[in-house]
Amino acid sequence: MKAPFGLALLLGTGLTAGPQQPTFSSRVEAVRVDVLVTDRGQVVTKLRPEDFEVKDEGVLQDVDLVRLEQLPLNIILGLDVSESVNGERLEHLQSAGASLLRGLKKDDRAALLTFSHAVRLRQELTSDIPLVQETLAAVVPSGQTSLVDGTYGAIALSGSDVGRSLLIVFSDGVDTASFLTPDVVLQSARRSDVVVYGIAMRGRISPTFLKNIGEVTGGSVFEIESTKDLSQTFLRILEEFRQRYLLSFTPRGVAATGWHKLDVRVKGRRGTVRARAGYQAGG
Amino acid sequence: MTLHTAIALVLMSWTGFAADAQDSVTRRLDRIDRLQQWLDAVGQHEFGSADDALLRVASWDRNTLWLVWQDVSSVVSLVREPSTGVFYTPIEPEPFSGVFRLPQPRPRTRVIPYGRDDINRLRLIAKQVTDRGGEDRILKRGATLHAEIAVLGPVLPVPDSSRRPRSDSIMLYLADGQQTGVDDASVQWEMGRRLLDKVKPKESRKLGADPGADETVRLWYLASNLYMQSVEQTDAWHVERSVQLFPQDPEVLFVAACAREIFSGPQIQSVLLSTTLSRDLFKLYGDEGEELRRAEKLYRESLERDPNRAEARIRLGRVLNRRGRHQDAIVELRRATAGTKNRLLLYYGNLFLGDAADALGLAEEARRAYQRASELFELAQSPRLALSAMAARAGDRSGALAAIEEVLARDQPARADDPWWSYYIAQTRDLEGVWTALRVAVTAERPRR
Repeated sequence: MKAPFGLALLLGTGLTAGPQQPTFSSRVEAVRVDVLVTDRGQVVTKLRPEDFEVKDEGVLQDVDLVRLEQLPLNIILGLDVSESVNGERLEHLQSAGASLLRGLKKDDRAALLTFSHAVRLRQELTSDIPLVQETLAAVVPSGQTSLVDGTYGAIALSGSDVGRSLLIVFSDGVDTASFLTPDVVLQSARRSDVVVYGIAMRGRISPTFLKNIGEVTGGSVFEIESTKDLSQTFLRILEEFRQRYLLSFTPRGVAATGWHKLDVRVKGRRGTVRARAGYQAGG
Repeated sequence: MTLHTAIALVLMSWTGFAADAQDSVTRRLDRIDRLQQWLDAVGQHEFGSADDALLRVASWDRNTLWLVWQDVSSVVSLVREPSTGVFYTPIEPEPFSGVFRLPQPRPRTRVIPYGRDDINRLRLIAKQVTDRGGEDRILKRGATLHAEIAVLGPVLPVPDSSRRPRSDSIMLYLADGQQTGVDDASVQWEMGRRLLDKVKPKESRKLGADPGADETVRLWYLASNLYMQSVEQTDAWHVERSVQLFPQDPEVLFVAACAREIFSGPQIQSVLLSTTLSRDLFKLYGDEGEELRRAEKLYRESLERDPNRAEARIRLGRVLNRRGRHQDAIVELRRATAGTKNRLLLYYGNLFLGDAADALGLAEEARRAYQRASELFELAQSPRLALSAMAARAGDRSGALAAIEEVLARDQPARADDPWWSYYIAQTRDLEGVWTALRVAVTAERPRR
């Protein structure tokens, strides 16, 4: 991700960081990469910048590490509130949302976007977390499912200048109403810094779109058996997101435009790295 | 995308409408009385109203209707050939061989065991039918009565479930792309089709029945198909039959194309992919690619016969977009949008034109088309989302946000805000007019002399 956004983020972070400034590059061309490292299912913490190896189009880059404790989170809930999410499913969804929101810290912010046939921004990013909870509690499901449109709307709204953005998308069924195509949204996601975690009901139809969007953004998809598992899944995602690393580097020796494939590894130890597949530079 | 929250998919089952309709002695004794009741109801029913005649027939169970159909067939035979003395009925359901490729080309039949008195009464009824305007008039009025029962079904008093009419199809209830229940399909549509299959217009030169030569039959299929689409009830056989009967009619072809486009959509396809029911039940439904191919063929056939049908061209453009043939799509969509002043059609046309142009890398044309769509329906989300996505892909994040902020923040978006949400039923907007035309045609049927 190129330019103004990276710069704005870093300046913004600096203003809220407190006495200990994060270590990052202040160059305009900075690219952020949100990274999760696991080893046999366990999240690996306490890694240093030198533990990472980042290749941009195969070219090794110098990596800085942003200290996460300095960065507030922007949590965007993108929730399916179509007709099928009625009754018990809605109760579970509202309860899970409330659990997640209670787990946020002082400077964290949250937003609520819902989708049925229509996409609705119910609450833009705010640090007034109880307000988001109230808004979620008032949702009434109806209509069909525009998962792709809804995910796009949430990604477009997630471009905050401050903090790290996590988008949690929940849908209990297949997309029946979107106008946008998955490809268009995936292309947009490539230009975004947001990490998308999808949650889908396990069924005969694979949640391909959510899987792809998770892969592109460095997130993941959880397939759950029942919406009873939603609270646990929401909290797991939040916990996992807090334990990620935010790498920053200024691309060197690569083209200024186009799609850049990223390869992120940890050096000298075992570990599975999950990070965005690449980034789109320039026009 | 629709005004309705549940859709129903009518599927063929292996059991027949007639499968358990063996005449008991009791039934045989009063079946002619029942036939007379049916004829009276057909004669008395005032089209468009849930009158006593309609309610009486609506309460009959499947077996009763099957017997009525057999007896109506016998009467039609007697009107056309008064010397008929032996009457046959199929043992199996009607041979849908054109679609199912059943191994036996002809259905097995059996003789209807009428007694001498029954036949004498049937002869009297045949004369009565002739005097009342001829058998075609009765068949068409009867079919329309049964269509109205199907349409009014949801508001009619529900008979005891064990006596409810059943058909050789099952109805799959769907909501939001998920299967929510299974039930018998309405036997009323099937009854209507079977009655109309016997229509033989005076001007027809065919030896047997020739329903495809009758304008009222055409209106019946148009009205019934449009009605089903308007309530998201899909019945592939009904669509197929209408095209078999009227392969040259641009309206019928257009409505059938719309049905195929619906079948290609996520509502139906998600069920095909996820159902646990036998695949045999879905023989008449293809996968997404196959249904899109069928839709394209039907839209093209409709346009060959009526090139000015802008709606068909716009929908063809969308189908071509979905098939990845954006260059073909843009040609159709440019032509269609230049040739209509209808606000709704212009909205759809520009929306899909934007899609085609965007896919072809014609950013400026895409932007203009989406903007035109947005100006036609200012609260519509779809063109704004598309404009936003274009800006996002160009790296203009603030532009991407600005394009959608306003429409996404609306408190209570209404269905009418974005016609895209009603795309799959938009073609049914003149449903009332078509039904009126059908009722007028049926009411105006004159005796055949």
